Amino acid sequence: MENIILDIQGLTKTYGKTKKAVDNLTLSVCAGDIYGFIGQNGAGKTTTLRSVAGILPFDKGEIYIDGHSVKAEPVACKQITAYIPDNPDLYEFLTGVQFLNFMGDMFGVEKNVRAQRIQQYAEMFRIAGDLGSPIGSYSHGMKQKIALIGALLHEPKLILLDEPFVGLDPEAAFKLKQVFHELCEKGSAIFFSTHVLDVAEKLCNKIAIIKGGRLIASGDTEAVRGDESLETVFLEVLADDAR
Amino acid sequence: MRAKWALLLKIQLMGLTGIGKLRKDADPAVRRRAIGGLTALAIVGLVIVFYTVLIALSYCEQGLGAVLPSFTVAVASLIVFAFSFFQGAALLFSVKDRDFVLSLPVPRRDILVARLLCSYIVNLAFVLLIAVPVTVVYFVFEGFGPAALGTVLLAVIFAPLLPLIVGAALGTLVSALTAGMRHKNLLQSILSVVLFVGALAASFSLSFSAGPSGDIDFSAMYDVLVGSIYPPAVLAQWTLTGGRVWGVFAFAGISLAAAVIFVAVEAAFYDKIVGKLMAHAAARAYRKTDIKSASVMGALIKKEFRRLFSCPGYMLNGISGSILMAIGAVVLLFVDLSAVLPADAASDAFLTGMAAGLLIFMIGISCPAASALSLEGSSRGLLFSMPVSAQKILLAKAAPTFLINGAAGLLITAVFCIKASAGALGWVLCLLTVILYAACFALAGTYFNSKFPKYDWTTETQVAKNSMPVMIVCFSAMVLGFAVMGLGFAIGYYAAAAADVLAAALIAVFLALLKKVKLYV
Repeated sequence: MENIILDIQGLTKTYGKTKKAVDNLTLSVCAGDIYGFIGQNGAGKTTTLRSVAGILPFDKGEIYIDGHSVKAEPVACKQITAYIPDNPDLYEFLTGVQFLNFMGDMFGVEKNVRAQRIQQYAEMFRIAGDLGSPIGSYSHGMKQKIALIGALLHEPKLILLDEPFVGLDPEAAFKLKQVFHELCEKGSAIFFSTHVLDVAEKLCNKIAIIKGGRLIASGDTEAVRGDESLETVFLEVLADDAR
Repeated sequence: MRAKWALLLKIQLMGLTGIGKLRKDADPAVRRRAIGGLTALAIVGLVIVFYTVLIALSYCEQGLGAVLPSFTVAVASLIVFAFSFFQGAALLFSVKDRDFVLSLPVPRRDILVARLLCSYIVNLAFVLLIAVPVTVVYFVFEGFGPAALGTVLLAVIFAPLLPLIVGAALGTLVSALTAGMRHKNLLQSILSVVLFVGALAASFSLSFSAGPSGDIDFSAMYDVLVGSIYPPAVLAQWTLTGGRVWGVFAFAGISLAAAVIFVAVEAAFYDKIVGKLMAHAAARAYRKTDIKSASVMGALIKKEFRRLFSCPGYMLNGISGSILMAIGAVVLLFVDLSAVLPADAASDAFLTGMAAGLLIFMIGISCPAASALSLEGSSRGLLFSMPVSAQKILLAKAAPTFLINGAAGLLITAVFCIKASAGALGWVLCLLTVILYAACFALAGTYFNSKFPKYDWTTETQVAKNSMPVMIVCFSAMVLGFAVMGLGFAIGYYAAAAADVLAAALIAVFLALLKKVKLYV
């Protein structure tokens, strides 16, 4: 039986009185999954990710992370989750290493383990030489890298990423994919939104397509795309739904 | 077609007041909160008007009603200068939307004009809050005349311009000079504190113009303020009482000319200034000793302190009362209290009541907690996704306010009690007042900030100085502090004791309220 890490049941989120951002969305992400979440702008991807991260309240449904309810046990859920938003707005008044220390403290990562992981990831993403500088002096890509390292410090069971490849240089993007695979081999699950369909097609073992807050298609990548490219399927699904 | 600077100004003002967002927000809870906040602001405004009228009446009682307009212009100008300076480069250059605005097909001059006008309008609103009641008192006591009205209007309208420009120029200079340094934020904060202390020293010299009876000598105060510190204000006075009609026009002309020259010069060097401000210290690798660990609460509090000291505008607006208390403690060491206080009033009970009121006021005007949550801004999602309860996050936000106010308050209280030879009851009540009110205002500020957060700021000063939670706490402290001082005259110890009981009850209430707060983006 598959080990479900993220279980979303009938998630519904409405902004104001009428604008349904997510409508009765149900999906599961299992240990070892790299789950791509694709859809147009405003389809409800970020709202879903934020709801799962416990930073946005939702109206109906339930979200469970490794069996814990996001509504009832938010702290327990956050302890095993990492969330990286699309725009890494970090604490610019901290240096890179101060930020990573902060993240380590928040997630209770032991000092030696922390030092070893910071070293490992900082070298991997070629940012070790800048960790002593204030984040305010970083480029967008560097901020993205430091956010990633901070998120990976506690080896989360569930990693939520909103457009993780935006701003990363090609080498960092390649290494991030490697990290995804390594974490999945250890039993973590990755759920991320993207507009880059090529990446989703090659990287993800599962795909979900969302439109207007509703899940249009989901499942194994091969099953979703069949004999066609993901891009073709995506455009067809959107066109079918419009008719 | 509207001028581009006007379009930019409109956008800035909409962002500042939040009116556009409120009009479009369908959520009734948001509207209810906004109405509640506006009511609180109206009360705050009334309190300011009340105290301004009291001071104006004191002037008139001493036969100095005629100089009220120029005195008001001078006082308002000094305050505008201080706040403009503390904002530093953020006022005109280091704003969040800079890159976006720079990418628009708008001349640098228009960007500067829009930013300067936006600050001018905010400061003019503040000046009007003081000037309107003073002008009413002035006309009641000195007689109304259309020429006088025109003169006062002209003086008030141009009052904020010159200090705004001088403050912005000096603040930008400090920011630019320290921009490439590793600890630039700390340096800027220290420089700002030095200037702040200088301004305090000037105000101390004013307060020492008290006459032998102990009454404040407003005439001497006027001479120092208008004669020495802010002479342009005297130009308006020449028109009002000296028969020199050109005075107020000269005042307006000087202000306007300064603005035009400032915009022309800054526009010419805009890109160079921005380049200088964006300079960063050279990249530095981390050392193994940089890896440190702390408890969750410890890490959160450490982060709050770092945030507080990272921005001069936030620090100065946040802990001015604490700095005042620390300086007051040092000054008290060299003051003979028995010579300053009237002999018949210097009983322990009276002094305790008065000291408690003053402490409440000083502690309340220093409340960085009231803007700490808002300052999370666009990075709030990061904090809210941490595996800690909202209550823990909020208590950590309250901690610096409690610790800084507590330390400064205990210091001045200890010095005061020793110098005043306070009895045991006086000591206990004063120390309790410090601890309880440091906690009470820290929790209150945090709670009000969670109810009225403003995350979409463009400069820190917008929330550290002008936001609703800051004003609510500041002016609650003002009202409560003066009430306790007033009661201290009549019931001595009981005034301090009652204030302490009230604080304990409020702490319990705010702790209960904070438990219910949920933090969402």
